Amino acid sequence: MKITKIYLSIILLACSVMTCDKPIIIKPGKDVSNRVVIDGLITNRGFGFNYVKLRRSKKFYDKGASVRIKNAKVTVKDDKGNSWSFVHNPFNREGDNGVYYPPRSFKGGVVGRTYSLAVMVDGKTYTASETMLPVAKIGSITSFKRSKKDVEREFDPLPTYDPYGVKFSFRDPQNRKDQYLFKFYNGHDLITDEPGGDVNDGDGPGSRRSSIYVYDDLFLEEVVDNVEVPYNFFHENSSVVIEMYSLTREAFTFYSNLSKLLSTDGGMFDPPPANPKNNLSNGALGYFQVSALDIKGIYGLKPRPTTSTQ
Amino acid sequence: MKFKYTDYMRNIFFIISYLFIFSISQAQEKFTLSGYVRDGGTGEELIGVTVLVKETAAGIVSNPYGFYSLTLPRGKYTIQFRYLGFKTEQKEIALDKNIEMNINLQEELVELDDIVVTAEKENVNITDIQMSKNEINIQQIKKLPALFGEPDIIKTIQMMPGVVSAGEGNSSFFVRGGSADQNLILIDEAPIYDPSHVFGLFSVFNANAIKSSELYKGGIPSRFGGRLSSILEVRTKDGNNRKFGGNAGIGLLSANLMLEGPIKLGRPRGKDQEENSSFIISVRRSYIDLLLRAAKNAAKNKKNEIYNNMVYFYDINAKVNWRPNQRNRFFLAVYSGRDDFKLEGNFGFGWGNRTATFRWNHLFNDRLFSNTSLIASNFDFELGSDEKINGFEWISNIQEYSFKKDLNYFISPKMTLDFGYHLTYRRFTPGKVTPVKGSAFKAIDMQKEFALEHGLYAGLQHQLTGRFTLHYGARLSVLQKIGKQTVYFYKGKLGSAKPVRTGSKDFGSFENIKTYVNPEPRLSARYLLGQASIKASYNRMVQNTHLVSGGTVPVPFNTWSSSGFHLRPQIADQFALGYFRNFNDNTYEFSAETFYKDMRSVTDFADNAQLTFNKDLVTEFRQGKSRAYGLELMIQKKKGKLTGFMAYTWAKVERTIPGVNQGKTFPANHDRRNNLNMVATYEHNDKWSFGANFTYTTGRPITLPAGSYEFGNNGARIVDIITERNGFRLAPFHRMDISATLVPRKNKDRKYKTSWVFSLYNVYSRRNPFTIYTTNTAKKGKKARLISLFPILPSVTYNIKF
Repeated sequence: MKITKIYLSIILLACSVMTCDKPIIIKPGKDVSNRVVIDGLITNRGFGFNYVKLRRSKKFYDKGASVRIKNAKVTVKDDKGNSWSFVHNPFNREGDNGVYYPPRSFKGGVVGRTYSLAVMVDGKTYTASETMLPVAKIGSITSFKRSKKDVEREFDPLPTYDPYGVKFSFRDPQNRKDQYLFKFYNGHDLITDEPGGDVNDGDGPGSRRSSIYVYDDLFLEEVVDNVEVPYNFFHENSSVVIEMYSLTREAFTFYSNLSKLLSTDGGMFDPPPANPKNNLSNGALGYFQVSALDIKGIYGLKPRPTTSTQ
Repeated sequence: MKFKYTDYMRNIFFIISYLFIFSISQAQEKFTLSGYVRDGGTGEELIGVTVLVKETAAGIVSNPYGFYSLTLPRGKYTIQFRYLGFKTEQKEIALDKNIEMNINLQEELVELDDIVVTAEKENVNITDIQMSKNEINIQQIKKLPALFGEPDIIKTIQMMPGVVSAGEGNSSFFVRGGSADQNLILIDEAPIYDPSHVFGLFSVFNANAIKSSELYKGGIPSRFGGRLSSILEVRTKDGNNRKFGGNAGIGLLSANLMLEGPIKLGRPRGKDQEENSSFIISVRRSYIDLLLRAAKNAAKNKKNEIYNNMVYFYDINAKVNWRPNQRNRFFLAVYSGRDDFKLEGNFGFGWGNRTATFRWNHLFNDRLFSNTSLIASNFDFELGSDEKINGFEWISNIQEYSFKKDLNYFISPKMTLDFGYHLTYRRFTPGKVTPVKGSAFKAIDMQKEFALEHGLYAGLQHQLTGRFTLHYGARLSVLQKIGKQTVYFYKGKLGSAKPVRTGSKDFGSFENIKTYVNPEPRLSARYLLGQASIKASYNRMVQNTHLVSGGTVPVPFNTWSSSGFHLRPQIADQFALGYFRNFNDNTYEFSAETFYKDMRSVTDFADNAQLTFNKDLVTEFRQGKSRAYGLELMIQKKKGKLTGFMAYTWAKVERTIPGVNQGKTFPANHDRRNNLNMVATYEHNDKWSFGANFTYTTGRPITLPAGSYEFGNNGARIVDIITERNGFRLAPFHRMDISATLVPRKNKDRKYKTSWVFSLYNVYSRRNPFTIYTTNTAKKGKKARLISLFPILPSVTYNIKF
């Protein structure tokens, strides 16, 4: 719940005039561009789920994509003495500039092992290490037709198709502390926003969703079912894929911090925005995440609720 | 250190008892004149009436219950009773025995055709020893322009010198560099933990129920304690004990009704046609929810999610009092207020304060007045969803029960001694979540906290010479953090990045966990210089109840925590110096005050602190130093057709907190250097009066990003880089509001008196900055956006008095 959003909508209503929300030019003081940003992921899965992405930070008003770092030396080691040198853009794809993949000898991470990352850029070394924790298994996935009330609330005018929602379940082992990160895909697209618009632009700070779905099992019962895939009204032909990652406590903190930062209201009701705590040395931005991963999908939502596994 | 404190306290008490004995030994043949000063129209006791002995020029003021007592040698005296807005009453007294005399002051009606100019005007602002205090004139507030036409004392407090607000549309205020949780807000002595309705658009104070409200910013009397920066003391009306009456009003967003009158308790009426018992009840309720429903029915697009938000709040103030005889009086006052929100998706929340005060005024003799109070206060909030899948109910509250014994001993016209003892028991329930049956969520019950707080105080007001008066005293604050609680210990210094639990200790019910003893010296002095005076004061304040909030403005979903094993009391030392002078036969009151406030162990929070459902919450607190200083200028006109004030404040507030902003000093969230406020009402004739406000304030500091980076692959997020806390400032805030009050002339022949208040908020529709946020889309790059709240807003309120 965002207090700012509720507050603004009450004022909006009471005034029956729009509260004003307009662009403003700010003058950032310190130059924080060109810092190293590390986005690393090691999972228990194969090739595409293991990478280290290197970029540079930008000035506040810099436009266009970030600068990719192509000349770094990236190494990952485990606590059994194995070591892998990651390779920059092995297939020479435009989109993989600045992305380093493990060699073929790396078959995916193993639950329980600790992985250490070392990135050398411009003579400086940035390191981090994390342990791979086990992940719970996603149970069933089912689809359901959205109620008329829900549809009317979301759409104006009404859609020409019958929107579907997707639910899933999982079991949270009660004998250990777990943290989870979920990613949801509609086809190939990561679900990040509410449907029907660019909510990141001009709808007020409370309207923005960070779209980071992290959970702490502190408050979860063993059987967690009927969890809805957030914010979606799927077409009947859609495929929906759910990825569930285990997170260390540090990673959970990082994602929670990131989520707070992405949806801050500027410190009126929220605390002042702050940089997320991460696990990287030498002031690098980003995170080196080591996770066990479970994936499940549902392909075609209409005829009958079906379940399938990838 | 402890030994020194005890020594110090002993000295204070020694001096007091010495003076006490001194005064008694001096007593030859003396008699006491005592009684209550009341409003002749309603029977309400008047607080702070100047009771002056003309022959000696010595005087006292009536206490918070309207009681006065003067002890003088045998003789003939002329006693004057002076109170602003009332005709001065003069009595010739032959004091040859103890005399009880109740005084009824008559309201001074402004006769516009021939204005009565009384020869002697009030200069209590000069003669009173109390400095750094502002009285909020509730009658004037009702004629001033108000947001949505709702008169609100807190909005006027935000305009007082030395006070800043976080912007518009909220009920928090910051006094002399203190944060919003450092104000003790009292309604009939009971604390209000969150004074807001609708997140601060309105405050919990219903203007129709209020008798008086005073804000103490410095030189705080020793009978108050518990907060660092200010005391806002609001007292509600006692109810008319002469005739039944009331009023009703309807505004843009709320309606209110007040009824008051005498209660017959068998005995015949006194000579003033008054009963010895009376009651008052005031109710206010917003009808935003009804408007919403109407708006939904009228709207084309019924799907707008706003229409699914149902909001309302209410306030009930009720009070009865009974005076069986001149020596005893009983009061029972209750307040209950609540906000209720129902949002889309079966999600709802609410919060509210409930207080009850039972008071017994007792005269041991005509010089010793005592008040005994039993007080209960509860603040709670709840959130919940009744959805089948993940429904839950989340509640949190803070409860306190107090016993207070306050005594005033009127030693002589030159000496008044106040002393007493306060005991408070507090229970903090930070959070309890109960899931609905079949929910995937577990029940959570966060550990409760308990505390006992003792306050033992004494203060002596002592007129040393005709010009020089001193008030000296002290308060001893003792906090006991008690069980039942499990206290956890952590490795390394608290405030390090990753505290690790190393052990724990269980404490049983009422078992002492930690005790803090803090003496709080209080000293005030006044020196008269003809039509002017110089005042100085020093006070130490201690705060043992800490708000758990990281934002600039507290919200009702914040919880509180007590000083304890890990968390230290906050302590402030304040020095203030002021010059007070009246001009034009006391028509204009001028004051200039400077202050310096040094605060220790003020609470702040680590970056990204997790403040809800954190079992290691204590590790998120960061305590450090804060320093504030400033200059306040004020000119006030309280009489005539044109009344009002103009206040200018320059102040600076810094914080240095280890673990926040890399330990570097930063401007506090409420550091707003220049503040200019003007408030005026003009009585044009018996039909029309006008009001206006103007406010200008330096922009609020804000934390903004200096750069950004991309993170994530598919649909990368653009993440801000933050470099320093409060490194930016919003643009200055300024606004002007105007109002007009219409009292129809035909009222004269009516049993019911009606009036209209028309107001225009933000006359020149300035888009004042509320906050800045940044947008995140990769396509368009980063942008900063500014939100402003209220454009020009008209409103109208209709009142009826009967």
